[in-house]
Amino acid sequence: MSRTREQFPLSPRKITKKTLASTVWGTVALLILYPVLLFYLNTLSSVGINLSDYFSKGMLIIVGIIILHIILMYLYQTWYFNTYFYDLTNDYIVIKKGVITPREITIPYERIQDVYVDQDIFDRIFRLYDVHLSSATVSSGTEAHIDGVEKQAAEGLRAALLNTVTERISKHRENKLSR
Amino acid sequence: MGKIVSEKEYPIQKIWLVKPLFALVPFMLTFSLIFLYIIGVMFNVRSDGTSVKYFPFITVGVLFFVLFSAILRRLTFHYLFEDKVITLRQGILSKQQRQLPYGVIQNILIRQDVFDRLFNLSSLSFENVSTQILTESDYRKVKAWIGDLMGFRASRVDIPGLSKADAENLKSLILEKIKENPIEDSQSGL
Repeated sequence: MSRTREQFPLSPRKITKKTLASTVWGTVALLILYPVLLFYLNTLSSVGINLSDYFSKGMLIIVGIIILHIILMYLYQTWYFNTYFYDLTNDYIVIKKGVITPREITIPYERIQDVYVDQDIFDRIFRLYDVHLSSATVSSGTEAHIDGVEKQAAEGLRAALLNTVTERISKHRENKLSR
Repeated sequence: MGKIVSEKEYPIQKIWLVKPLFALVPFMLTFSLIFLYIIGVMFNVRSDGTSVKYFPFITVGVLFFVLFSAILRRLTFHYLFEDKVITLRQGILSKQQRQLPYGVIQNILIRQDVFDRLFNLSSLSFENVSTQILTESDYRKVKAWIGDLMGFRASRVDIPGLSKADAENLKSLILEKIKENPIEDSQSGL
């Protein structure tokens, strides 16, 4: 665990938030679609199928799938949480995430163009924040972010980054002027 | 420091050449029926389906072609990390050359996909700011066609198939060079 992560940690609520965010739409879709499908098939077929029987057995399977999905997603998100890495070194910030396809982005402080913090709807439920950094490229905006920190850590990270970046700008200007 | 580092020290590993084949296989499986039909039409299939016997030969032919072009692309892709600039050359038929001063590099990415993890490879990328901007989905489409991104394209340079250690070392080298070579005018970067 890096010093930066100790100072500005990820919240464990992130695991729950991510599990919920990834499973909720699928769950709702399945729970609605199955009865609708059954109803539709029933109205189509001339012979009335044993609706209640199909319904109870089918719903059991559907609920089983949903529970399995939630459990697997929770385990995956825990794994993801544990391997999430970010560090503010002397010259650059490095963010490394991903379990199946790890991705690491390194941005030197002088290249940081903006820092912003946002929340999606699930973040708001769990009181979590997303800290985004970008350099002048399009992909850095999507890759370089630390999501799932609590308010204190988010404010701290933003302040630390802006502080370091302004320091660099003034140091650079000093160097230029002194020549 | 006048050290010049070329691809000899940080080579694209040979095993990476097999990767485009892996990318192609699911593509071919998905479209095999359409593929079969097209081949059937091309070879004037008779109702007894005799053209189907050509399918394995055509598949093998395509796989060889993909492997061959991957080999050629790797052979013609050169990268040289000099004192003040990075020199890149690529192109099988039409040759392209690019020089990037260290100061324009905005960020460095190291990524591994499923194939990379199996063979302990990494893909190193760095970006500058240029007028031609491709989005991540554009890059993904290119990657789907040719199996992996290699070379310079718009604002990004990709060096795939490096060993994990090589990628880390090369990244440290580039970061060091960026530090040594700050951008002189304040118009670019910050």
